[in-house]
Amino acid sequence: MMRMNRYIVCIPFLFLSSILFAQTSDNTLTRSPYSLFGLGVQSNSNIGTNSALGKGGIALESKNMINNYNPASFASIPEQSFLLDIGFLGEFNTISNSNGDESRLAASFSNLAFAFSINDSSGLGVSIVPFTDVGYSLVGITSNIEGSQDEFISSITGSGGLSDIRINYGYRIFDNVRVGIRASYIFGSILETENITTVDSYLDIIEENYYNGLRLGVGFQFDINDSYSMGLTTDLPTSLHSSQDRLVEKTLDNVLITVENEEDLFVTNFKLPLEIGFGIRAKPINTITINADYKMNMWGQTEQSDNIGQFVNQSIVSLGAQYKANERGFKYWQHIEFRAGINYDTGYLKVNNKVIDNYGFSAGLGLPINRKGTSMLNISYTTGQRGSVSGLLLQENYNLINVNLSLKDTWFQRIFFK
Amino acid sequence: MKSIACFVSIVCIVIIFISCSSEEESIPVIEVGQDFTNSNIRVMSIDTFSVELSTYKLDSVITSSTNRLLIGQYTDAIFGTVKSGSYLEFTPIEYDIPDDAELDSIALVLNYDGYFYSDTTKVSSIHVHKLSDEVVPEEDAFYNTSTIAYEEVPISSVNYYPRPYGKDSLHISIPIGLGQELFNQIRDNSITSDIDLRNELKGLALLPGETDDSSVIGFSIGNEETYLRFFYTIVDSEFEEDEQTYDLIINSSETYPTYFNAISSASEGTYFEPLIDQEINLPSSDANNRSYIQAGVGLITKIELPSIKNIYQISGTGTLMSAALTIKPPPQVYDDLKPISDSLFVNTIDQNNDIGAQLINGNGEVYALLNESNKEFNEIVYEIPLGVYVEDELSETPEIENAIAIFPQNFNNTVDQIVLEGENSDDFEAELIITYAIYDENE
Repeated sequence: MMRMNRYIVCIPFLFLSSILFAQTSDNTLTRSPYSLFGLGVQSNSNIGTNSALGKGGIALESKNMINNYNPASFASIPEQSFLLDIGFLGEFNTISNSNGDESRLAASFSNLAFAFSINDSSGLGVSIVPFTDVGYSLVGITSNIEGSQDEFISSITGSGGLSDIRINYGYRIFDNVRVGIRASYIFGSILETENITTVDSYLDIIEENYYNGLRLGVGFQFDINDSYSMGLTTDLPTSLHSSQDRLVEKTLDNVLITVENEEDLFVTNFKLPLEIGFGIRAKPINTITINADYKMNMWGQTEQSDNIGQFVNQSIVSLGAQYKANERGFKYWQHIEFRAGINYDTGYLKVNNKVIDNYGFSAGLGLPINRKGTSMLNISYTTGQRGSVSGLLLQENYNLINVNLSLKDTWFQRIFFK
Repeated sequence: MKSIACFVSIVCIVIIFISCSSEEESIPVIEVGQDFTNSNIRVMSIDTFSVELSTYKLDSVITSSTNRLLIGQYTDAIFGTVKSGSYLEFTPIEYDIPDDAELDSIALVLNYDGYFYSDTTKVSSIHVHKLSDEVVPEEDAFYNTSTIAYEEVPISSVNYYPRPYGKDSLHISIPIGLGQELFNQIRDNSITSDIDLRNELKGLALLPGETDDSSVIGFSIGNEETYLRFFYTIVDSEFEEDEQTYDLIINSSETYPTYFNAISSASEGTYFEPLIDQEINLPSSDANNRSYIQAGVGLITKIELPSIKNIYQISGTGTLMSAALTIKPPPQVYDDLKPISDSLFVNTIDQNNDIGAQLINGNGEVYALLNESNKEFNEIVYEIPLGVYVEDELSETPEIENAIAIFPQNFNNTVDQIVLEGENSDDFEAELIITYAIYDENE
């Protein structure tokens, strides 16, 4: 009966989560012009501590905080524990080209996740995290009117992004071996508006692309000994079903004409690649935890083309470290977790024969908010750079603040004691 | 249980927080687009869609009640001998002449209204004929081709040098004997109505000389400007003779027409000789690669865009952004004496070459406007914005062989002529320039 109740309680969470998604889908989590490409930029929103650890953690456990990077970690949720994570993301970026630069700010609620142990050997988690973010505005693009000396001017804006609702399940096979499976429902829409001005007329094209699809992944974690663990994740390739609504309007000799107003137009499905990740966790001394990940996303094998760039295999390397003075200390600061990380990402698109690579440095704090030190306010700051002035004549320097409220409590403990 | 309630309330607070957060500020803008990406849209300018110009002649042009008497004749190298004569009815405002009035003289006074075409430095003539039939149209109106029988011998004739901008009007003396009877009958109240009057005077025909080659002149129809005036004196006057006048005027306030101009051109030896029916088109290729317009006479330039639907052969999904037609009037054939209109009507015509509605777009009525910005290069051209027309043509199913006609605005009371370079002209090809945007490379 208790067990039943436990699941029933989850229902309002799912319900509220979907409302939350509906609320955030209109908000823009990025201002990156690079979100023009593909499905947008990969979201910088993360759960728990991953942001501060260089966006890595395939070998990390989910003891006090949800680690969404490997489903196997959910088996490590302590029995009768319930974990909740609410995240906010603030992005401040500076776009530079040869003419100057401009700063942009975006901030929003970014994610929600909860997880709990089912029994001694397994755990389950549900999360809603942004998958990609789109938010760009490119103006003053002049192009030649073919067959004449005249030019037309266009401006392109995009907004939206995709979200990922994910269920993770982890199971402990042996004391030191955990396996996990995850199922993601990836969905969302990207709105792109292009308006062009010729000598005497205007043309507006408003395209909203809808995507949705399921993706499965598996994970594995192995504790070599108390100090070293390794992890492995694989996400299967999938194809996101795509459709498009398109509204085309123009003025012709000063008459406003709707050229087209179509829904559910066919567009080629967007393929997500096979992703393989490998990570290790090391605890050389008791106060320091180090994580290192390597991830390979086989975009090149999706054999799809973007009208601007070309998809190439993407490698992501991350390295993170965490320091906690004394888990059993009596002073507050001894319970603060200090984190730092670096991340390098080769990017998955080659534009003008240049990859849009991306690197970031992060630092963060985990501030305990309960006496046991299990619930924390995690704050991280990441600074990074995407693209370069030399390549696409456009460099983006971004600064991210991730704030995650990671709460842990025990299920029905008092009831059990009764 | 408490802890779960706590979680739920946190989530609720988050929801409220988000719901209350203000709308996103608009996405900032930096002009980084140019080097960063290209437009998704291709825009092209296409001038290869064929344009076909031809000339046809309206079976008739309504010329009654057009606020002008158009009289004269000239011979043009292209248009042949162009001739216009006026037929009109004169009636008084009231049938009242003093009993003791004695007729002194009669004069037909015609006042210029400023319009002229061709050479006014040459002497013109007007022959005044009495009509032998009444000015009554067969239908509701008279046409340029209408005529009314008149007495062979003119009652008066005048040779004159037209002064279309002058203050003086043209006086044509009418022999007194021709009006004496009429004057007496009105004075003696034996003519008291228009019906009575028509038994005596059905009207006048004012015709140019058969051999005139000068100009066509416009005269006013205003009652103060143009009239048949009887000068008379009151005999009983004790001291000095008191000269007074009694006018017959053109009554333009009637619902039926009281005057019209017969306008014609002798087409023998011209390109227009075959145009004996409105449905016959004279392609520009058969007329010195040109097309022609003449008001009054009824010559109209017809423009067809026979291959416009080939625009659908351009791969991808696209839409028309603009369509502009440019046609050049050859400068050798117009001058100050034979000027061209700077704006022409642009109307649709059907398969029978009957004129339909004027084209309309978002700026109002469509006109062919003379663009003189390249005057120094002798490139004065008519420009016609045809975007809306072409858009309609493209979307039209089933296909109807539509065309447009261009002609001067004063088409029924002038003889304005225009020559246009056709699609195969050596000097300047009539050309349709289409701007077309492809927004989806797939069909």
